[in-house]
Amino acid sequence: MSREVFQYGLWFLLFWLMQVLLFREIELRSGWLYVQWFIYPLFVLWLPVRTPGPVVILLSFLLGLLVDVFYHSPGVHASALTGMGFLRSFVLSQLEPREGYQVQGSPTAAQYGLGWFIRYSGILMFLHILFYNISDFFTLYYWKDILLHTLWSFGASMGLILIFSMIFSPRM
Amino acid sequence: MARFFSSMLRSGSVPLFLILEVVCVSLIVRFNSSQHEIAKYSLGRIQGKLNKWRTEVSLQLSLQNRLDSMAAVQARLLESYLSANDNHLLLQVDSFRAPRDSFHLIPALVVNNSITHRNNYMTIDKGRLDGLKEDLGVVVPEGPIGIVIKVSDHYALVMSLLHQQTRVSVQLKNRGYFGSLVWKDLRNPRKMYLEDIPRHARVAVGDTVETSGFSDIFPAGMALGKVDSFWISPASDFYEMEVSIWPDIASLRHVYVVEKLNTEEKRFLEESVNHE
Repeated sequence: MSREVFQYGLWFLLFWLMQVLLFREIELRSGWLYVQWFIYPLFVLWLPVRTPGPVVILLSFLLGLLVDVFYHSPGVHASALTGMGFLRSFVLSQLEPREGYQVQGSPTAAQYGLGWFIRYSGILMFLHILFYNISDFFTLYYWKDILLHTLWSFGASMGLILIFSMIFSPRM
Repeated sequence: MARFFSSMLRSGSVPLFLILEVVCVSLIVRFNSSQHEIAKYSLGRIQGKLNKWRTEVSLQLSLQNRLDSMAAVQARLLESYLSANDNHLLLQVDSFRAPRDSFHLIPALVVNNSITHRNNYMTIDKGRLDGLKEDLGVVVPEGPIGIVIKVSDHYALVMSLLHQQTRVSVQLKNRGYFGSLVWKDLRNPRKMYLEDIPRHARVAVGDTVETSGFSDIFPAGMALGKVDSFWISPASDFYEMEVSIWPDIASLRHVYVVEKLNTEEKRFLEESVNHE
């Protein structure tokens, strides 16, 4: 149990630092206006299936807030990731395999198959990025821009997340 | 699904999520300049709309008040006009008689009305607690429109002029002959018939028909319509006259209940005889 906590604590730090030090720099230097690379939501996606709902939401909020510190956008990433943390249990219950989830372990591609993981992460990533862009624009007047930003960033981030989860995966 | 939601409610996810989102949104609005501007603008617009709505409502209310007070003013004006009319008539007969017949008018709103039945009624929003009782007349400035036949605490039922049993005691202005106004043409709410004018009377098309005041239900001398045509009904010694009436009973809103004061003596005297 404590090993698990330690491991996820490390993932938390790693995803946070990767986002704010690496991908934020890439976003700034690439000059692709519409594309944002979201890696940190993978932490929430990877949390063990049995993690209590409130814990997921609280961790999402904290991670989002820490990312916001570096993006100078207090609350924007946090609101989106909190929303995603809240919806995670719902999506998980909808995608539950016939034989159910294992008592221990994370919802990963290795555990439940790549197709399952693409559906799971796809739904939540899209919602997260849409939520993020709505928080960022803070008006539905520019809905076309919101949609465009969301679609581009979704494509880029899904590619990033799938590649990353093929290389790494939380081990029990 | 239901189990999922109930477990979510029990785990406290929903309140936590909502609280954290409120925190996030307040952070966003407070510390992000563009979102701050948008929020300020939107809030201003919402406030403007609310203000406008509030102003409209209060205007509506003040208009309603003004209408009510105007109805009261009109009631007083009608009161004094009708009393003057009534007394004037009496003074013609007996100039020593001091004016003492006066009327009290109670403004009311029509809350239900019909004109399409054989016997029509309307309901008004004043009742026993407002001083109404049975057999009081109901009028509009254009003329009488009905008689109160039943009262509850807050409402009264009015027998419309458009009723088979309504007989209003009327007279031809400046001619003095009196008769009864009845409703026969069920299709036309503005046409009534004047009966019982004796055939020796001199009458003309266009004569004004006014209340006689004999019944104490309506004040005397209240004009209500004019004669359209007349003929002598076969095998009788009376005229039958077609009268177009001025009150439009099909579109009533503000009406006045007339209470004639000091009628006991007259009624007492009249009830002592039996016409049969």
